Amino acid sequence: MPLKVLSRVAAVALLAVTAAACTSSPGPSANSSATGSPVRGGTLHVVRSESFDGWDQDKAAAYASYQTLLAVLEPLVRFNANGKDIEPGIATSWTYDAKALTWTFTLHDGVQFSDGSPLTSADVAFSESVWAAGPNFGGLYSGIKKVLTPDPKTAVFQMSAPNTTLPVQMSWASSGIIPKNYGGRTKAAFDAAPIGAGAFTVVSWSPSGRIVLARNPHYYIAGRPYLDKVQIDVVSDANERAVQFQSGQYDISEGVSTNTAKQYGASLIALPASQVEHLSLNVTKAPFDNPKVRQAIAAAIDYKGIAGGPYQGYASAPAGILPPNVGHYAPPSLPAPALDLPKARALLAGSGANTTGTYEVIYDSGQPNDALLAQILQQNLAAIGIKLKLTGLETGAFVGEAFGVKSDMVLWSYGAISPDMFDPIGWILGTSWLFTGDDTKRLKAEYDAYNAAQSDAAKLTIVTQIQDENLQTGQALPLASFQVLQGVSSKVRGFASAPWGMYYWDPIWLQG
Amino acid sequence: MGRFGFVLRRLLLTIPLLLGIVLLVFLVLKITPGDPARQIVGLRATTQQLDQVRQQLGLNDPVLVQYLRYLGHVLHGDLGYSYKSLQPVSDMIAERLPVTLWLLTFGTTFTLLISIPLGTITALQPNRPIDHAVRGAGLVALTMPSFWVGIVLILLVALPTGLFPAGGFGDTFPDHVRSIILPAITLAISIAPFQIRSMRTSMINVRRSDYVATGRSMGLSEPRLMRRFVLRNAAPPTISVLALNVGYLLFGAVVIETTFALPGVGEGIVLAARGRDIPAIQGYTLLFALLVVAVYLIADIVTAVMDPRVEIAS
Repeated sequence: MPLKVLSRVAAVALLAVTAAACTSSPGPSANSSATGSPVRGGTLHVVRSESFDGWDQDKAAAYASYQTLLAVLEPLVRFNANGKDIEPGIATSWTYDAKALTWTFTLHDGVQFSDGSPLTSADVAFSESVWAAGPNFGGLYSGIKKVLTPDPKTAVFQMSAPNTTLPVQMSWASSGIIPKNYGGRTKAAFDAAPIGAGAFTVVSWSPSGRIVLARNPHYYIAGRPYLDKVQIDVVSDANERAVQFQSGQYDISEGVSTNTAKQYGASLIALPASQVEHLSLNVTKAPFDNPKVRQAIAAAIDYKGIAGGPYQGYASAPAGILPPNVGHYAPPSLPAPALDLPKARALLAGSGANTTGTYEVIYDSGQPNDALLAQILQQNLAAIGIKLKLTGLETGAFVGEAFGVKSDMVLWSYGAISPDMFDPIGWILGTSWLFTGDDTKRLKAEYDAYNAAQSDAAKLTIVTQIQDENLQTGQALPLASFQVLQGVSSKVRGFASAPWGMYYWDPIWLQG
Repeated sequence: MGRFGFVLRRLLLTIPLLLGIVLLVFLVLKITPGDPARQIVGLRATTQQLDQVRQQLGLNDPVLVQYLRYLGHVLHGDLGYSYKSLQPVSDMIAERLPVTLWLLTFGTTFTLLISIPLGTITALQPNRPIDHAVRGAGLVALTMPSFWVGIVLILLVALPTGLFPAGGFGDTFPDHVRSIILPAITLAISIAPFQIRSMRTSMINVRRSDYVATGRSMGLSEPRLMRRFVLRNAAPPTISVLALNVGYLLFGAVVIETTFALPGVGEGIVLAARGRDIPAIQGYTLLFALLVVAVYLIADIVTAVMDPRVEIAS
């Protein structure tokens, strides 16, 4: 999972005061699309394609799960919809010491869990122990040595290495605050009926069915949430989601498929591009261990055709492998690869590699765009004499194959889910450079340096460096930088989504 | 052996059948690629953590041991826990089954409402214009895939009129009724042609039989002949076809529930398959098998009750 970033105000403060703390921005983001005064009441009907992974934060694997978790098990801080900043939430301010080895979070006055019990720093410390123990995300919290609780309103995180990105991590859905000792219950009982300090409480839920949330009467932000309830349904078929949205059964359709985008008409919101589709070449196998072969493949791909075809215009040829519109994004200093068949043929001829075999591309068959993309790639590479075998795998099997770095090529996409480059860089690091089999030693050093960097400039330099490295090695080829699409009814007010598609329900109200 | 013996034998035959289905489901999912442990602990888990989960689940044991363990659990009514939600699979099924039963009940009812009158009319007027029209319409209906029929009904009926929701199951009883009508009609359209054809053929055969001719020569009225002799004797083969069709309805539910976003077991198995939630897939598949076996069993029993020849044959 990605990281979080200091707010821009905090970043300015960092530049100005070297050994001082960074502080937060003024408050939760106002809704840019809001008009008129918020109206209290009503039920927001949300439809999505992804199943909910349950209330165990460590098991969250889908955007839909992150989105839902945030509403109930709210973390210490919140992300801004601009995709670049962190805002106060349960924690009103956060500072770090001169060496960035200690972070101090100050909690909002009078925060309560939805059962009315007070939320204190002891709950924060307990929550951290739960996050760190998780087999999935636990490793991401290993940099936290200890959480001290000098008083009920102060949580002090001691880090094992300099870290300036902890607040970003504290906005993740996997960093939700839960009551100490699960409020006296077992973990299983808690996960079945969780209690949090988020804007909503759980009325009922099932993993692949309906989730009903109700307003938390003890929510710490005065007056919020405006909605009485949020009702979420899972509808796996994209056409059916579009039709039900058109019929007025739903107010928000999350993650609209490009195939059905036109059906949403004026209700479609195309967020700034934040996802990157990539073709990863297995550098541990011939002929992809040959840099010239990789460069030849990069020059044989029709990037504009991909953006205009499968993505129907909701994408563009990417500058680099890191997703844009995320805090501390910086483009590469090198030019992105472009379609140049003569160059591709020349590179391949000069590589000395034997490319007469048939090479397997695996992709997630659950992603309709990826099947089409794979066919385009097959045609593109055939133009330089490289034959591809396309293997669409069901998601679970695909993930297993990809992590095992067994196939010749992997076609997949990724993006940030929090407002800082720490997030996607961490994903690249955790996946052997996007399943290419790279040893990532150099990337690990850059990742650590990024985490320790106290200035924006230093972080941006590292980001450019990583972008350039990928272009130089050509191991993970960025194919398209695409947009997340949302369907939002005209009666929804206060909707403000981050580029990756996550948003908060508490600022939303219904008009009419 | 009387009719009771016949029914008992049918019941006993279902036991090896279900055992075979359990074995088949287990083996098919065993040979499909993918690591269940990865599903459980997540993308970022270490190799050690994956190994630990495999050990806990017994995935490192020989396949036979795994099968016998699974079989033991199933025989005790334990279908395991979802890899995704950690909920008991039986609870997931219990949550979704009522929706599918609604669909099956209404689908079967609409099928009968369509097929009985049309089957009767075509049997009474064979090779007349009405017969040709009904058979032609049936042929057209058979060529239309049910998901397409569903989409057409949504676009031409649900959206313009607002009388029925475009999908979902609603929250209240009236909502459920409104939500189930279009999916049930979709199902009925896909199987009614078989039912009409079966009923027409049976009734024509019965009407041409000697005993009906005798009755007619004795002055029995046509309505009485139909009620007392034709319909009753034409019913057993029609019931058999209906049972086959209800089995088809179950599998059609997978498509229809997805098309209409009905939260039934059909949609459940699709979502479980997409998430590679193996215990859930196994549970849903077993449920489908059980329902099909139960439907055929009921059809056999009803036929045995209605047709004395079943006793003789058995």
